[in-house]
Amino acid sequence: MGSGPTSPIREPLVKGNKTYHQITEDLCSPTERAPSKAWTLAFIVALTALTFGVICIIITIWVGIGTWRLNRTIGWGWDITNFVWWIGIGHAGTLISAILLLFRQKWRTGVNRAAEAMTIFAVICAALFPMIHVGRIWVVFYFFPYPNTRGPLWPNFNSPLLWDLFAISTYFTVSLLFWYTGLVPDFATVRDRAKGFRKKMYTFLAFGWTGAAKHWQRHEALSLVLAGLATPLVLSVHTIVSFDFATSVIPGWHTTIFPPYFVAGAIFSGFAMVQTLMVITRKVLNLQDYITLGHIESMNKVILVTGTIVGVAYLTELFIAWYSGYIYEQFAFFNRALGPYWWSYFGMMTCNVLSPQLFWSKKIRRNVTMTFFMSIFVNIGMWFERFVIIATTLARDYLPSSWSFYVPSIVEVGIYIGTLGIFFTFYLIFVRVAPVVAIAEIKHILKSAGDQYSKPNAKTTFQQVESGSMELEVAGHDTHHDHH
Amino acid sequence: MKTDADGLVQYYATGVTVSGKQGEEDYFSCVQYHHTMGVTGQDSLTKETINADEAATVYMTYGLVRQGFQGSLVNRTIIRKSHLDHVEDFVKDLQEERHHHQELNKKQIYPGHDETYARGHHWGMHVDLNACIGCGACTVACMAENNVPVVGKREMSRHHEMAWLRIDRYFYGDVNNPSAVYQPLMCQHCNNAPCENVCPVNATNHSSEGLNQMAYNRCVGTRYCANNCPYKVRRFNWLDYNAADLWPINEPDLGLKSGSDDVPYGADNLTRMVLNPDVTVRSRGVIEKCSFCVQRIQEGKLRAKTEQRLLRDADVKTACQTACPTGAITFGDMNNEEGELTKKLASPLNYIVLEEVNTRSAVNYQARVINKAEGVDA
Repeated sequence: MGSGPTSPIREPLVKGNKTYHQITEDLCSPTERAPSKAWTLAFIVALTALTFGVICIIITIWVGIGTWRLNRTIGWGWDITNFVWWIGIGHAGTLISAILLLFRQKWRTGVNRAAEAMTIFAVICAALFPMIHVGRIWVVFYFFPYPNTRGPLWPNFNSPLLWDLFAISTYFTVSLLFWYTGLVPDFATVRDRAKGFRKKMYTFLAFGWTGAAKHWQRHEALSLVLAGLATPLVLSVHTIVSFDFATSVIPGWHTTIFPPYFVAGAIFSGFAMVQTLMVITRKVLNLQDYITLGHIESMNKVILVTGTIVGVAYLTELFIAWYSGYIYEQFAFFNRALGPYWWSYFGMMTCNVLSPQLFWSKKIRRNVTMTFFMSIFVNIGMWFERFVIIATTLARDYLPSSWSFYVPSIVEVGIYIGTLGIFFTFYLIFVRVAPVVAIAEIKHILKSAGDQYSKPNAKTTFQQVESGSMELEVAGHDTHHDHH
Repeated sequence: MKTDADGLVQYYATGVTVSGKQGEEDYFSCVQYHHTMGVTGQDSLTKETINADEAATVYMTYGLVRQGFQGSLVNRTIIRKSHLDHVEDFVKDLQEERHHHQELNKKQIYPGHDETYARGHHWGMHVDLNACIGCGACTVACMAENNVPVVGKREMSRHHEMAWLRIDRYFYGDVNNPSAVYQPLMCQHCNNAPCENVCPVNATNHSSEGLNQMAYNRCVGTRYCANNCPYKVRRFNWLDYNAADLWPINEPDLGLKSGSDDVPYGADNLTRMVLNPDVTVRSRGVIEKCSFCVQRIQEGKLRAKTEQRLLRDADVKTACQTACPTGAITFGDMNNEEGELTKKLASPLNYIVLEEVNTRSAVNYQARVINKAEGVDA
């Protein structure tokens, strides 16, 4: 990272003529000042949602899964839909930190910290569902392969649910370590400015970081090792989640296309959630110089690509269902589009396939308001996708005698709201405790991507492209320009 | 109840009038909707005879896409039937199709356990769709034998019924005067069971005698097995239906509080005498399903052992089999060459439901042969 000259055509990633000290000031100050009214209000709302969710979880455990409206045909509904949705959202963080690191995408430094935090919180929300959706939570430890006095009796290593357990716990551990490794130098920066109790707290969190060359060397080595470990995980975790469905015999689930389709969908929804959070965070914390329109545009490009991959997957599924000549498969897809849950299929297609196509326009990619609404659309669409795959498919499978319909109860909806509460409560605490943008990494790229360092070139390139006042004749650059 | 002078109950009433309730709508609960499989009707525009099933499967219409596709409910490999006039062609087609499926099913990586099942007992069942009249006696017998909870109207309307054995009913023929075919459906005890390999904790597994068995104590309740069952015969204890753990809050109010002591229906000592002591009462949060009356199998094996002889058909009869008034259900050991089941399994009309899914089910159905003139009632 940070090696080699930046092409002068590239937009600067740090704006506003920042000095190293100013970066420290800008990024540390949100943890140092008293919370704003907006933050307090958001925190109260998030905490209320969390409390409601906890109450609903207690009801579920105390009274039974009968408080949900699942039935003999539809054994998974909102629970597993939410599980897959959250796990999908948790994919952007590691993609940004690991894969984009390997691809030397410097723009990742502006968003990686928050995206990784989001990953961890999303995985926590996701992991909640497999645990509470079971009938007897008090024996959920049967999942773990540990020597026991029951034979010993081992779990069933053939079951995709067991693979899920390993995949998700590994993913969570590596993501957490990766995130924390990046946080250590920044906690040290905050520590050095802090006093009193805060000083004690950050001293503990910074693990005795002094900024010595040896520390940096170990830090970089560990980051690289973790990036290497995390990269395959980005692809494997959602692949394994998709196996929950792909290895079954239910038409509409038993599909070999699922692993790549799920991974693309996961990155798609993950980036959408990053956009939702970043658009708000940069505004509220005044970080427009670090999370620039260029960052937002880059992420919108990822959303466009992955959204299109997902769209191709949907069409492939339809084609293969028809081409299979197998009536159950044909009916499963017929039922998705035209059956009693047609609206969820319609929502999925509109939000996931059609709406991201607007991002072909540069103007829309760089429009903050549009980006925000689009990110919400994508997350709604991806929720519908999981609902379509899980509940709609189960509702009408082989035997018409067992067909059913499913509407969630207030308890199920409450648990979903509760996970949103958990997610935002954690995120809001995070923005108060840790620098939302990685200070050390921003400083790392300042000399190559700060606007004052590419100024002479910048004058004749991106700034005029942005303002639309000049036709570009730089080789290899997109000459089309938009007016703002 | 009305009684006559001798105190005998009279099952009739006189002077009945229709109340003002007529024309009002109300909800009632039923286990199954009125599903069709091969109902035909006249197209209102073209006057041609078309499959009328699809109309029921379409909710949303996108312009021209509204007719469904032919065969969505007609050609399902669940019910097989033929008119007596074309039974020979039917048998030929059926055999050919089954052969095709079986050849495809042989192509797999894993060796399977056929050798294990060829030794000792291998329990199986045969259901004759011609004999079944859909009376439901088997369902009732099963519930009594296996302590299957009776869940009441509210739970049933949420599709929480617990029956291990159900009678599926499909209509076919002219939409204005349809005929019905009944299919008793219980756990098929698949020898390549989709439910078994998805259970993360090994709570459901296969016995060496071909039984798909449940370890209730081990069950965590992920319901993955129920989702992956193509026959949808697995039942989840959504609430504490049997008062098995006696937390008062867990008692679903089925409107059946017994008397004044406010003890939940299922927890009343007298009521609990209805339970079969040979069968475990399941607690909330576990899956249950047909066990092929494993308690009767064990009893039969023990009897044969104490009498120092081989097991006979008469030693083991499932509850549904003994209750069936028409003898539609035959249970037995598929490895017993002399057994009644082996004779029944020789019929060329036999088929396995969803054979192409390669579940290798242990329940054979004998295809229905219709012998009545077109348009004749009953």
